[in-house]
Amino acid sequence: MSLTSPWLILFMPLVAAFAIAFGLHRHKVLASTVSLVAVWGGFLITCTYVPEAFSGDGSWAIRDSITWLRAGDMTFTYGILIDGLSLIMLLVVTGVGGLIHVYSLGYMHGDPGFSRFFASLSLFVFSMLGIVVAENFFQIFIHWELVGVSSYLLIGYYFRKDSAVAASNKAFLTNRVGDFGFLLGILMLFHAFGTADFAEMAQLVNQEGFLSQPAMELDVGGGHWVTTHGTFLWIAGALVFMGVMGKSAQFPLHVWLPDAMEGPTPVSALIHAATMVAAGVFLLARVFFLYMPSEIAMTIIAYIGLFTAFFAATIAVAQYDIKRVLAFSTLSQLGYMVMAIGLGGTDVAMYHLATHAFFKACLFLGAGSVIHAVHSNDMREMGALWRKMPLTFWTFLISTLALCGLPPFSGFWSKDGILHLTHAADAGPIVYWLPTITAVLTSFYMMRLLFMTFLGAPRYQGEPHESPPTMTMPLVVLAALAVIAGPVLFSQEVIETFRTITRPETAAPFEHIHGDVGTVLAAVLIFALGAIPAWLAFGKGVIDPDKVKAAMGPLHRFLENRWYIDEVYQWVVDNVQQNIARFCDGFDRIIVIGMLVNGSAWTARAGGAALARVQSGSVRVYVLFFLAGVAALLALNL
Amino acid sequence: MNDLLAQHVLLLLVLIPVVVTTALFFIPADRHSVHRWLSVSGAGLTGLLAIWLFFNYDQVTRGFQFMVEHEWVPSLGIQFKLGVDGVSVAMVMLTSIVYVAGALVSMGVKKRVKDFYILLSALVAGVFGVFVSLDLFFFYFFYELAVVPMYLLIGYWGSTNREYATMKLTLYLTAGAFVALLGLLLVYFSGITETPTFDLTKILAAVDAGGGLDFAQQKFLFPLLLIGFATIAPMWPLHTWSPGGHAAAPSAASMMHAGVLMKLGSYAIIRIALPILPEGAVYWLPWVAVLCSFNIIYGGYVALNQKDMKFVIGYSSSSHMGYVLLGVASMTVLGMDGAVFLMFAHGVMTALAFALIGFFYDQTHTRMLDDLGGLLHQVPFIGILFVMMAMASLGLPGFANFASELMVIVGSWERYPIATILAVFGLVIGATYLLRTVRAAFQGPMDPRWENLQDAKGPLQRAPFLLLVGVLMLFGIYPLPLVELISTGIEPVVETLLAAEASMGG
Repeated sequence: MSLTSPWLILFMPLVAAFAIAFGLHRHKVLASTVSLVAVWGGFLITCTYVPEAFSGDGSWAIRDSITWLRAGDMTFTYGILIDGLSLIMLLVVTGVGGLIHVYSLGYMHGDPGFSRFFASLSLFVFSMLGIVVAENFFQIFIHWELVGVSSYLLIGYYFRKDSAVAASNKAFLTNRVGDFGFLLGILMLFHAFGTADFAEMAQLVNQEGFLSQPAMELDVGGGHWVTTHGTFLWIAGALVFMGVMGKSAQFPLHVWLPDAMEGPTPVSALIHAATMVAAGVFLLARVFFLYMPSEIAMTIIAYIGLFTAFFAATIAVAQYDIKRVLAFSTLSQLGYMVMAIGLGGTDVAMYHLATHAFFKACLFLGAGSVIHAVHSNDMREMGALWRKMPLTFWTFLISTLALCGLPPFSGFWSKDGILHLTHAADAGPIVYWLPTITAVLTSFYMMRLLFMTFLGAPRYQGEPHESPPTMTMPLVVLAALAVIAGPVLFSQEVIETFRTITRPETAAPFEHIHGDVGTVLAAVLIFALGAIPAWLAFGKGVIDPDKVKAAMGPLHRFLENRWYIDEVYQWVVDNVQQNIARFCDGFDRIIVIGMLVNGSAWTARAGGAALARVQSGSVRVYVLFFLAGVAALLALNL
Repeated sequence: MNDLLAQHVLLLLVLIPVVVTTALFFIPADRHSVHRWLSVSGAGLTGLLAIWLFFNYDQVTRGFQFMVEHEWVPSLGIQFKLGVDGVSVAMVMLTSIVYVAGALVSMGVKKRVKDFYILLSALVAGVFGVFVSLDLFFFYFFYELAVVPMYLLIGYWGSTNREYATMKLTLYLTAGAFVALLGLLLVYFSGITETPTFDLTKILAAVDAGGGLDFAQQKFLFPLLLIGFATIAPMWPLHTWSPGGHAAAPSAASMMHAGVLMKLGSYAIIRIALPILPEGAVYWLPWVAVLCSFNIIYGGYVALNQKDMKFVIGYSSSSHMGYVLLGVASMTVLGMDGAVFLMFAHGVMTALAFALIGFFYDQTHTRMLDDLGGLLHQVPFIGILFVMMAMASLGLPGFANFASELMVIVGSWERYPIATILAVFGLVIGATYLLRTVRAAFQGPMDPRWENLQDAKGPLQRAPFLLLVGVLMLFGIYPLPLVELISTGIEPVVETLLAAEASMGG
């Protein structure tokens, strides 16, 4: 193990989490330092791989592996696979994660659970890195679940607050539903391929004729079913996609993400914007070889992504909680990424993932800075904050423009890549227009947020002031990244480097964004279509938003209440699930215990009466009975 | 030294608790600390022996090792014969771990300490005896030795509805054992071996040599053994003794009961029923799988509607035993290894659950979810351990339960895809009722009634909890050594089953 061992990247945060939990938690400074060292150490080690990766031809990879479990002829390994795809993800997770650790030093200062917070953060980083470097499906599932639990711990950080606890439960259980499909998908694939290793599976799929071979034979109800690998692949792929829908909060498993804002703001930035929710997109890119051959699977993915992007954007328009607007915006942007993969653009999806991580983390941290200053999440209690907190404002502005896709900010490069895909896809008017309309909505709700928070008339209480440097420094770095990431990431060398070795050979190469005049003009137009109405309503005050709201009537309520989907789910949980539970419990009490057990109660009573005679109340007498029995046995032996 | 130990290790294992029991008789009843420390030391010694067994069982040679053999009643074919294979070593480890933890948490027992420890040690002697016996007569004898102290432990030291619970438990277990005994006697008289014998190794050798019973007999006998043993497992609809029994029992008894006693049933199925009656097993196991998937879902939903925490854990245990038997029914090395591993993991996990519940119940005198709430703030150590227990139970990676359930699920997929889908769905239900329990008892605003609750303080009070959770994490993070050990015992059983299936023509 050299000093730059990839295992260190993975396990330093775990060691940090344990060290804090079992001893360091009493020393706050030490606890946070250990946590920071672990994540930044990982970042530095990752950086040492970059030159090597650049010099290669895109097939650069580090691999290592140990046997975790072996039984019969089945072996489960736990290992490291770092290729271009993992490398970019490692940089994002440790880099953005590291900045958020720094920010937390300021944000969580004085909180009684300071050490617990950093322990959970380190546990999360370990879990997330495990997904990034996983070499097989079982390993990724293990870390998938660990990410779920770290998120549960962090959302429910304020465990005495009922809403926070409810949100953490919702997140965990929604993800469990997704993981139900995920695990079944893994089971099917493991048995069909005979391996769970990504690289080996990718090779098998690429093999000539593999897809038409029979994968499974099943005798059900007298019928004999033979499934080919091709059919198998899309069913299993769709099941695996359920896991993605859970973690990346795609419709209809999106409900947990907005509620997850109950956690401390750095958590929202790290987990629910930059890294954890990106895990699903990363997984899709990692196992794209499964989806590539199947048109059905690709179509499902594309439409789920497309719908989520649009649906979440419509909700974001009508929210007043600053973190919730950002949460729905995250949903929407994740929808873009998922859709891009469904359209075959894994590279551009990953680029959007990276740029989004920068500017969305910056936005969340900026929102945290604002909340820290005015002690409210409600944008109606903000306004005119730009003079009071200039650093927060300028970084927030830059990130907003990046999210809106305005050139030359990084969001322009990646989002335009996705829009370009939809326009080239030739899949009907919905796929052509809806993403573009969503982009207009994005500009609208983001500019609305910006105007309501930082401009206009002051509506806040007290004397807000700029946050301490530990909080503003990460904002500046992230904003800088949001500016420069575009041209840097989109140079041809980088595109060639950050490519996964599990990428199907037949996958279409990423078309380079040239940033020509037409594209730039179109992007500016999309921005203006959303920004101008927002300015008229919330900046200049020409249009009265309340009147618009009244004119929209039930439509606004529909959007404000998030299409009533949470209500429907709640109804199902309260009525269907609880009733099944009540029925089973009643059945157990009345039928099984009542009739079967107490039906033979006379046996019990008779037995009881017999036993009562020998019950003298002294335990020692009973034990003597035993000894007598043993003596009898001994006697038999003699 | 090692050789000497190798000759006597199993005898020692059974004798240590017996010696503790006997010694306790002669210590005056008011010397509580002597009783306690004597029991804890005895438990610790068995723990050391279990660790020794783990490292010294020869995985290359396999088979039954460290044999102890004495003629007993030759005319009836009874001998005192002890020996362990990989499966028994795993179970011995489980028993000693739970024994140590149980003896430690019982430090808090106040009434009739001496009698309590006498019974606890007698129970453990019985359990060790079952796991190391290779003679069916003694197997049965030790089994009863384990059940009867349980009756008294619940009857005297128990809580909620204890008379009803203890009577039901004893009758169920005795009735189950009786059915199994009937099956065993039929095997004994069936003429597998030339002269009737209770010697398991001789019976197995005869079966392996092709002298097994014919299919019709096996088809008839297997359900007897299955029903008899599955009552202890416990399997739906024979499970109702279990949750009530857990609820009534004092902590250490609940721990032994759920942690170890329940495992005797599935252990007996693997040790006796499957290898002696392989064709019967091949015929009936698909039905077991159906029942298992039902058991998993049903137990989970019933747990979701419970208000008493011990009932939640009780029904969840019943649900988890569904995974164990599904793994057994899979007839794959992976699935059956997973089943044994899950017996181990679940035993440690439920012991932890009951120890934790007992800890605060002693102070709150209620386990009702509606009465509790926000305890995490007042008792952070117990609270965090409870969350970890819940996470282990709902199958979080990093704990042994996940690894073992994964093995069961992967192992049974090929043979029973639909049962496996239901089993995977059971994981969703499991998460639902466990998170609900954690939320109701430990999170949210705290009831001022619990302001004076004491947390576990000091190494002695914390030791049993840390031991249990440590074991779960150790084998959860690196399961390979334990699984390879279990494999040595499982592989011959699977071979027998597959050979039987082949001979039956598919």
